[in-house]
Amino acid sequence: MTSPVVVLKNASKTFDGVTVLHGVDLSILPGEIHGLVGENGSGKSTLVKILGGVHTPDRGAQMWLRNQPVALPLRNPQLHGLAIVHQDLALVESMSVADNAGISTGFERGLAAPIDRRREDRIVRALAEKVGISLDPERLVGELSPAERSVVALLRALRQLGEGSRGNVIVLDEPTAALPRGESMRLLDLLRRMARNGTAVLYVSHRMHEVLNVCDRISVLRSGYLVATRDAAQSNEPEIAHLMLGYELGEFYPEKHAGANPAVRLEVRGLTHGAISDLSFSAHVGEIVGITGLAGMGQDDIPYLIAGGRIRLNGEVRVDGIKVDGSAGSAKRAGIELVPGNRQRDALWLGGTAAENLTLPHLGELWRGLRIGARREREFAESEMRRYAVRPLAPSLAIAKFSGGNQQKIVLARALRQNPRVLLLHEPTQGVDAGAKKEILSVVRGAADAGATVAVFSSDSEEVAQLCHRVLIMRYGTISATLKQGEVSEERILSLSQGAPVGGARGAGAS
Amino acid sequence: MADQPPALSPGPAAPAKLPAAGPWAVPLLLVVLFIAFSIAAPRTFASLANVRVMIGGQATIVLLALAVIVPLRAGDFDLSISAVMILSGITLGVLTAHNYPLAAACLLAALIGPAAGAINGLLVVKFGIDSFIATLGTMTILGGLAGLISGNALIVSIPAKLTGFATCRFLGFGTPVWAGWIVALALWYIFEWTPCGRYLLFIGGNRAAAQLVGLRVNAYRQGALIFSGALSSVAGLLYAGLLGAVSPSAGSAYLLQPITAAFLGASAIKLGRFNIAGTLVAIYLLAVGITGLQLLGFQDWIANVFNGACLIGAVGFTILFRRAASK
Repeated sequence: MTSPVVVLKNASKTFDGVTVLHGVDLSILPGEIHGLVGENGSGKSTLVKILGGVHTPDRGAQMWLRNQPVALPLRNPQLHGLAIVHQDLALVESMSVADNAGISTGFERGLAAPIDRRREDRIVRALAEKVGISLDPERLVGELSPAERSVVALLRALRQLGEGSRGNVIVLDEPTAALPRGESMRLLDLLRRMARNGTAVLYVSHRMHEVLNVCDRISVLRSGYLVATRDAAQSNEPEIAHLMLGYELGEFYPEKHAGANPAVRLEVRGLTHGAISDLSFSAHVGEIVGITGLAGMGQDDIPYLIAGGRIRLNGEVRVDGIKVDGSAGSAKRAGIELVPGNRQRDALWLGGTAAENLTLPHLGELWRGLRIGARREREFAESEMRRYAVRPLAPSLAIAKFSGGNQQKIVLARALRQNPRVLLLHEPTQGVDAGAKKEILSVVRGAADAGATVAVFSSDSEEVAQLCHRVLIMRYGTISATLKQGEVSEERILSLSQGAPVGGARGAGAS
Repeated sequence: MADQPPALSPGPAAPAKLPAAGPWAVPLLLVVLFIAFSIAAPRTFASLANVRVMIGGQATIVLLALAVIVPLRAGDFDLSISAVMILSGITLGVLTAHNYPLAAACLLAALIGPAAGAINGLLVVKFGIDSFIATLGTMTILGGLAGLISGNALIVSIPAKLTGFATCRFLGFGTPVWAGWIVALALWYIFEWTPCGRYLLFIGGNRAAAQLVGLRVNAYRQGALIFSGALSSVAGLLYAGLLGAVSPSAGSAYLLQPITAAFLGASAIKLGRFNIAGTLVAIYLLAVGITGLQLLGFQDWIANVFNGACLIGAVGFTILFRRAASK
């Protein structure tokens, strides 16, 4: 057996007296895809940041790269052949794909010559083709979908390492969290090819089936301890889930309750904007409708058109017959709550505490005796956080210190507290770990059972298949197929998304 | 392999409290400087008269800092505050010279601020021009207008009644000082204890999120700019009354100090947030430092150096403090 390219011994990390990582030992072999799994808050990101030199581990940690001991914190990891794609992709939204891909390597140019844009574009295009994705290098990153953005971040890391030299290590922190299945499969193929060429990959993910599928070995973190490293071939999903959670995951998806109320609550007619043309659909009381499709088919814009107040609404939206004009205010009045996909950009004020973010639309309720009672606010936040199992249960802690899943629970709690008639969810479990995902989905299910109409705009076809009563599949800005109750399955969603006609599925036409 | 994990208690323990000193570093510096200068210059610095002079001398800066902090909290700059102040003072003088009655002259002059604020709001909120640029533009235009209506001359026709009102004293402090403190108290209450203050903070922190939550973002931003204009106008009237004369070119001297104080104040008491208590502490810190150094024999240049050094020092300190807390 060859010697490992990365060895990390006894890595611990303490923040403000709280130890989030306890003496972790990790080794990665050349040409290996090594999975790293664990719930949010289990220390995955901290471990990745120690590898990347962002965090300094506590005293006593040691690290070797290609058999050379290295000083911690690690400076210039790419000089040691280590590149990292962080969960927060760290892209410059106002710059182009090519600029972002080249920014940490420096650009191809002669001395004192301007950057050769065409050469840059060519390099990026070639890299993108390797991943099997066509991406215009001139487009601004700000215009890209989450899926395309993670590809850009990966391209940047690939570029940092140069052409597939042996002994390189690439660390991917949740690379497929935002990717629909089809695209993440292509990414995984690329990882396999890279591994065959001798590059080692540390693959951090929530998606257990992917990890089991693509990885050679899997290390599991729980509450800051590395509890096990397993050969993927000899393991299975229940075992990994058990190691991660410390308890049985049980039936992962909440039970679907049959039969929605026949009364139509949400009615959308002739919605037109950008890629979306003349889109119509409706949803019943207590029904969960999934709207899905490949990335860039227009489904991502719909919730913001209905309730975002950014663009003038072109089309007609009604909730229980009440007209909505597309502004956030009129959507509120009609009882629509939107949980955005990019919670850090669109839902949270990261400078505030959990309580401040949670109570924002409820301050009127907490405003008594000419002031916002501090104790009342804390109690309000604490009871909501307890109800949705937000961890840690610390209302005065900065929201930025919560994990993605717990931030999402706070956003969801804030929306549900207003007893919405219609709940619009955009990528509700993106970047959320398995345990939190289960909790979030059962909360959504509970809201529908209580009579809310839920529309889920998600590219996670498994989630859509398991959660939704009815699924609308979008292709090129319009609904190309509808799967009714009883017809919904992940395979059908996938193949209909790709455009294949499938027996048992209904043809074109909205409900 | 690592040690066995503890029993299955999900989630990390509640995090420890941050070191408590950070928010109090600037107030502490104020106290330390005050004591140090009192020891170094016991006769000149540590006298009641000097304290009154220091506080009285900052009255205009306090009012303008309170004006600028409201749009800053909502995420927008208002650089036109000092130009509004001067134009209001000039207008008052010119109207008085044209025999307008006191009340009418004051009212007209005081309307300049809200009008300028409304125009700023139109440019920033409606047309989406960056607030720094838009208010830089209005500042320049208003400065030019002040030159136009004053004929570029010192305006001395300030009504005696206003001068009497602005210079009358209560407990040793003049009207502008009390005005500043009363407005500060009101804003402190609004910022810390009402939904409105929280909404402004949220809008300044994440405008997109505030919009999606359903806050009337545009109305608040517009209102904040109108408020800053209105308070700047009031400051202009008191300023004219206090000095008995307004120079059309005095505006630039009153622009950077309030903004410096607002930013310095954001690194005191409530770290990272524009807040009233921190801003007052910052203003008085600068006054104490500069007065003390001048009494010790430094020339006027020390004022600017001290202002700049405090701003960089305090903001830098806040960043280091945060980094230490999150690394």
